[in-house]
Amino acid sequence: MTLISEQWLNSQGAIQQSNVVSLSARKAERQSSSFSLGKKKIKLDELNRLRCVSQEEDIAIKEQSFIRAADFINKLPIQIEYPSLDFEDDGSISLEWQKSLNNNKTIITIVFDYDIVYSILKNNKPYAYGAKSYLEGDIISLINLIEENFGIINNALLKA
Amino acid sequence: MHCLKPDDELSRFIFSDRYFDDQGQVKSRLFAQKHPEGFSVFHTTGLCKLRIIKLAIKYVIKDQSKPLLAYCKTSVKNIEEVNLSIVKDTPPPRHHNIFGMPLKSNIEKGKRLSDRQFLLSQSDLIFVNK
Repeated sequence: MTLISEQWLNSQGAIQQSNVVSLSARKAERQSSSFSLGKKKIKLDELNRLRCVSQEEDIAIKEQSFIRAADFINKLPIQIEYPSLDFEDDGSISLEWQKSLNNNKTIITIVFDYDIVYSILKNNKPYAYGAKSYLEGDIISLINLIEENFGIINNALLKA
Repeated sequence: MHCLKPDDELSRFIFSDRYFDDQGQVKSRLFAQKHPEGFSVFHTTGLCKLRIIKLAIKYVIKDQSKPLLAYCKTSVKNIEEVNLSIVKDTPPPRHHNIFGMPLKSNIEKGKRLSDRQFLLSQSDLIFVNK
């Protein structure tokens, strides 16, 4: 009887503990999600500002490229770092992810032309380049590729 | 075309903070612009940082509305590794143009991005105020 009570008490304790952990995790997830949405908004604002910067350089941003870049940023899952934004000389929008570890660079650059032109450098060596059409399947495969290299572990969730 | 050796140093000046990302890393787009197929560099082998800055002040800054922030050093060997050609274009002294960046088809545009990334990975960044 004592053993059963202890087991029951232990299991209740574990359930309570797991509820606390799950509540903290959900709170952290909410916080992280709102932080990430904030960052997404900052990136979209930055994208809008590129129009003004490009005008200073007498370059007109291509409307289709702009819309696709904004759509792509919106589609990025929260566990992916946000890229740096820029525009090419022909007015296409480019996104770039970059990290450096022990002088070994990994870079992913994508340019929203009529199609999506991309290139990947891994550990200072050209890894792949090419073009993908702006279709759901291709976008998802590109996002997966970015997540593979630039996915971030959610620190808030880990702490919780 | 040019009389440079493979280990000779070529520098690309940075005048705009737009070439830096949020983490202060240089974007690969630095190795673009100037003309559609390439970009412009200065031969800086054997020059100390001060001489390189003076070179920028004397010959480049007058055409720029912004101050010199940094420069990226790479080598002739790296430029030639991605099959780009170096063409001496003086005045100003020590100035060279890099040509041959492909840009016709989408695959060629991808190759151009790849070349830019490679050159960036093989470059050293030197800040003027550090």
